Amino acid sequence: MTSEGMPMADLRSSIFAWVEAGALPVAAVPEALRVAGVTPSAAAWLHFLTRVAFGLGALLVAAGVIHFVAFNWQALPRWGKFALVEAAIVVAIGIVLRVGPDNLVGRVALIAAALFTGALLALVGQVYQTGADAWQLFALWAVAIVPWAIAGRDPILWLLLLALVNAACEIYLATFRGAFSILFGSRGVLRALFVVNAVALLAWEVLASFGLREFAASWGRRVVATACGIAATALAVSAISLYRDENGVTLVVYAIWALVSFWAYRIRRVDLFALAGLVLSLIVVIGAWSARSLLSDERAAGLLLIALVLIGCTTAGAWWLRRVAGTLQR
Amino acid sequence: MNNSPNLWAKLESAALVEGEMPATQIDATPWYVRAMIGIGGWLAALFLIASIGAGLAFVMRSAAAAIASGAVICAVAALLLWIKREQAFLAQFALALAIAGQGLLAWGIAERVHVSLAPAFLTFAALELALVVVIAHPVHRVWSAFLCVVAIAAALFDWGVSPLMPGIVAIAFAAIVLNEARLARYAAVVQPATAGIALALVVITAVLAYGVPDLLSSVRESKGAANVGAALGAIALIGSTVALLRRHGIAASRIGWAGIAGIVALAAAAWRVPGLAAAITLMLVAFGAGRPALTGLGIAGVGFTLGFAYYALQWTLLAKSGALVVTGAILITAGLALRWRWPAAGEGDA
Repeated sequence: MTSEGMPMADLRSSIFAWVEAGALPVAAVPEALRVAGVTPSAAAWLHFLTRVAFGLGALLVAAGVIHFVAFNWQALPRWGKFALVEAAIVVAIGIVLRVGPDNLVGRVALIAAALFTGALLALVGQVYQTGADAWQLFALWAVAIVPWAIAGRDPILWLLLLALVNAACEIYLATFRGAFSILFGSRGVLRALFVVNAVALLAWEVLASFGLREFAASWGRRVVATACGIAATALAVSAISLYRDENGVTLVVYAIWALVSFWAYRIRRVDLFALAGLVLSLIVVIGAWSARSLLSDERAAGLLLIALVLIGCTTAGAWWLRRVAGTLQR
Repeated sequence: MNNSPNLWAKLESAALVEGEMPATQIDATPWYVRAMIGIGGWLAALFLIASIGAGLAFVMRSAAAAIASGAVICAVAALLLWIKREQAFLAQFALALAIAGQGLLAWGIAERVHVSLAPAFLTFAALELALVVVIAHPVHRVWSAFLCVVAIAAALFDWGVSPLMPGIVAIAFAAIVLNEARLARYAAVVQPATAGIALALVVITAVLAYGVPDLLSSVRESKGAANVGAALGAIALIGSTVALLRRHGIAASRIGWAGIAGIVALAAAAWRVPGLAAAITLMLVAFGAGRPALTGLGIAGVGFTLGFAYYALQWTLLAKSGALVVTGAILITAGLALRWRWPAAGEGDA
């Protein structure tokens, strides 16, 4: 949103509509975009470039260190490899202690330290041939950065932690289901990812309601909500299409997820992004259900009917979302 | 949706407009709702094509029939949007029809080609370019522009010069977006088309990073193509930076020269990572135009190019490690220079 109370894209559209109507000369468009706050000011450029330079720079250096560990350079002795990665962690943490975790440089250094930690754990596995599975690396990595995520109060660190938990769960259940197979069944990976991300989203919302700043930014919540929505949708589609969900438990869980999402992002608070994701999920699930129900001997007619159902659902969904967007701007 | 009276008043006080605010309507649909509409239309189109295949099998067996059917379906979609654009169901139906029509056109063109793929891809790209103009649906324009660029990329790949593509697309994107004020009268076409071009750039970067060598290993890459591609990416990045600095009137200042020197160093460091300069160009130009969603696409493109750095086989991991650390160090040095000159830069919200 801009100072006009309108999204930037709407201000841009307004200006172009006035050009088309002949009310604004073409020559005045750059100045109009600047006055409207659509194109960035010098201060906005400075803010953006500084963040990109530090953020991308730290990411590239961390990626360089990970590549170095992966190369497993035989000419470098074992202690030299450890010294290199540990020195990177010490330098990063030293910067955080020097400038503080609330400073941009400190935040970026803490994220780099979290990435270096993964490189260190991989190096331990590589040098000592511990025989550990890949899921253990990701799980240990996630545990190791918990204190830094708490101290750093940065949404990126929490999202990194969640990504590591997702990776550990996925690799663990894809490799061997073990005791968790009773809990998650034959579609273990999808169910586990849904549970992990749903719990994470719930925790994110609860912590945001306590006013913790690292959970306040909508973009972080939207990333977690998207991961949760993808898992829920994939689970429902697989229940409908790929195997018979005899007792309908998966679809009941999906329906509960959809209702809770509606309550959370339409009634409790309006988040149009999350609602658009929910509508898309419903379209995909209705499409999958239609495909199973309507495809019979009359294949061509059935397929045409499914297409019309999807068009109807999308039209209704877009109409509803535009109405919700309209209530936001009034 | 009505335009903002506040914005009109602001422009009026800046002496850019005068008189009463004209009664124009704008489509205030957010990008993620448009994405939902597009995916919904795309899914419906798949079932429409399958329906035609099941009910009218001869259409799929004959190239001429597929091309003719595709053209007729696209024409019907364009007509529907022309006369009944305000009716939501018909507009969505027309979108699905148009995508299905494109599918049939692509099928028909592919059926006719047996020797070289490039002319078929270029024919399809020309058709898509025409559809960007003809079919007046913003989501469809994004889709058609995307397909047009991807088809050209496929033709270049067939000729063994695919590394040229990110640089060419970045130059095209920058040339259009940096001149969007001059093209303001055609905003209904240009705005969605540039979104499609940006999306295609990121997809091409990702495919070049992960998939092409395995997908079609029979195509032999031209030896000089990688260097020409890197040069095109550098031209896009340096040229865009100069244009943006000129827009702010600081190209010839000390700050401007420092910025250009930094970008030249970055372009040199990114020389061996295909698509990195193009992705950074997308990010900078989109930010300069005030298009946050496309800026995010540029950042995603940068992420894909990092993936390439890991998987590329022509470099050892040690060499890649060195290149990544050097590029990262250049960026951190640039950040430190900005903080030295403006100590509060990057803190808080802009």
